[in-house]
Amino acid sequence: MVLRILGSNSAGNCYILENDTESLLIECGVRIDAILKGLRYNLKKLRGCLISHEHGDHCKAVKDVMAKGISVFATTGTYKGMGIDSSHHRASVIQPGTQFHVGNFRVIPFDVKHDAQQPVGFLINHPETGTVLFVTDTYYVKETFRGLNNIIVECNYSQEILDAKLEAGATPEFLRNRIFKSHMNLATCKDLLLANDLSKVNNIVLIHLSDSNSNAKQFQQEITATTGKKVYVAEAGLTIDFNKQPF
Amino acid sequence: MTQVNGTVPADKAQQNTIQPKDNTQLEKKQLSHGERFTQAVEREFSGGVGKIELTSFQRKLCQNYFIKIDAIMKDAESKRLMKAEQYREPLAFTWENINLAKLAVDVIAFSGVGLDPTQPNHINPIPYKNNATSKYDITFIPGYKGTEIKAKKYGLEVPDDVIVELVYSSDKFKQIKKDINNKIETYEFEVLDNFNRGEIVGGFYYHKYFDKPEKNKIRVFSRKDIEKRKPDYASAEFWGGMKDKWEKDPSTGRNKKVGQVEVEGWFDEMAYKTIYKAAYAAITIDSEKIDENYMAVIQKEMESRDDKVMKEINDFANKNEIGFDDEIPAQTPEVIPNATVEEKAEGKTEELKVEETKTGEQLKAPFL
Repeated sequence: MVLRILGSNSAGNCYILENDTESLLIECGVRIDAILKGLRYNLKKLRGCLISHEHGDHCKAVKDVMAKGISVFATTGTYKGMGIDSSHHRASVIQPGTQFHVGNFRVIPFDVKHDAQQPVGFLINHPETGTVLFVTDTYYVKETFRGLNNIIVECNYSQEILDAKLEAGATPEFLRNRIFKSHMNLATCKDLLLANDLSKVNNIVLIHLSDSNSNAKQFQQEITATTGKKVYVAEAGLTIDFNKQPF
Repeated sequence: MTQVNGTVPADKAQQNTIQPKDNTQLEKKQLSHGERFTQAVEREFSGGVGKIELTSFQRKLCQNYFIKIDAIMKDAESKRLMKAEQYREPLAFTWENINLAKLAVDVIAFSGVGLDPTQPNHINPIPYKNNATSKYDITFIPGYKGTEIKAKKYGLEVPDDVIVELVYSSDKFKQIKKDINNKIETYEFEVLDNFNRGEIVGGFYYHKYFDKPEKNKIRVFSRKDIEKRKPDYASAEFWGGMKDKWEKDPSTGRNKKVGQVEVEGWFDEMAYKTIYKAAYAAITIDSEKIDENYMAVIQKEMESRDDKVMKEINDFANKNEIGFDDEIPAQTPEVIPNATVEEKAEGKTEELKVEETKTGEQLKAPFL
């Protein structure tokens, strides 16, 4: 199984978990043509699309995705936020805490803390990837996760950079306040990782880094030092081997 | 607020309804129109300009803006409906027909300065039809008291005293300008006949600085200067002057213009307010002061919010473990079903049913 990253910032987020026989789309916040290209135009093996919340950078292409016959999985609040009728035959309503299947992928959605209607993160299990944590757009996570093998986690900003930019007048205060209570900072990300059993984790992928309040190299180094794991910073076009076994 | 025992007034009972839903949501407070307006203002402002945190005072003022605008729109609508259909403006004076994005920006700006439309002469909202958008733009005209509040709160050099007077034909008035022999600008003014002052010939305002009298300043207005400030479509009832006279035409049963009639109006009041407004409008506003004041409130709120967020994270983060109880072996790809959460009937058409939503609220990328 591989993880393909089609976009991972405020311009658009989209990730694909894929092997030879099946694939899963996580978020569709980029243009449909980019998604189709990322899927190598192979919709036959695509099992569905998980959407965490209704902000455009996570669901920009949802109507096109559904129009292509792809099943979408989101909460009632997210459908409402997207302006999509949840009774549509391609719309599957998911509940935080309730496990569901998408092909061979088992998924447990869980609540996250973001300024959206009913945002969720996903704990995904597949025989090849093992258990994958996908969490984005939240300023903290209430849960810890059992048996993790791979982690895709938001590391949006550094408190120091954010406050320095505010002081310098480069970041308006309303934006600083919004970021503070809707996105995960480096320190909280480290706490989240350390609160979990990382002994079987192969990859940690840092996603949704802020364009102006982050430092990719610093984040990668600090998370590597904290966890001792292989750490990637997500960027469009990156493909990572994403398996349960390290090799 | 939960009413446990005792009687509840009917209006309060309507506002506070208890709606048991589940264990986590025991009650839900119905928002008043004013509160919903405040939320709409915040939403519109956030969509157009950027997210903003309102102070509790600003929230209260926003509700007053709603009350005032609502009353003005209702009044305008009833006047519109009174007109015969062929002369009637087709666009109704309703909230749907207001340019809310523009209104939001103005309400945030004026409430930030502390102007309250429910107080006399603070600020007057007036709806104007914008033909380009076919919506009503609510234009805010600061009243003479509003201008004073703004100047006193945010003026760069606010005079210790501002004197405004009208000068009548029987009064004795002399302006004394600053020159090489006279360091302080001043005036001589005497009312010679209090009860028969004659016609208004003009007026003046005087900015007085107790500690720095050399900064004192006088500005004199002739009657012509005052009348120049009279609005183009000023009501004769206020400013005096000629007004159309209408009478019922018995042959058609409808009103008909039969000439003009002179209305005395309240010219002295209007002239006084005109000079009063000019007196405070002349005080330079220090934008930084507005910003400082606002920033001080925001800073306070920000610090308290930061503490709350940190406490929330400390109290609740990384607490409850979740995971998969077992691991299932891979299935043969050929028999893998597609979606299985809620099996949906397979449809041929891929056309979407999209719920009607407000433009701009949905699919909005966060401002990052």
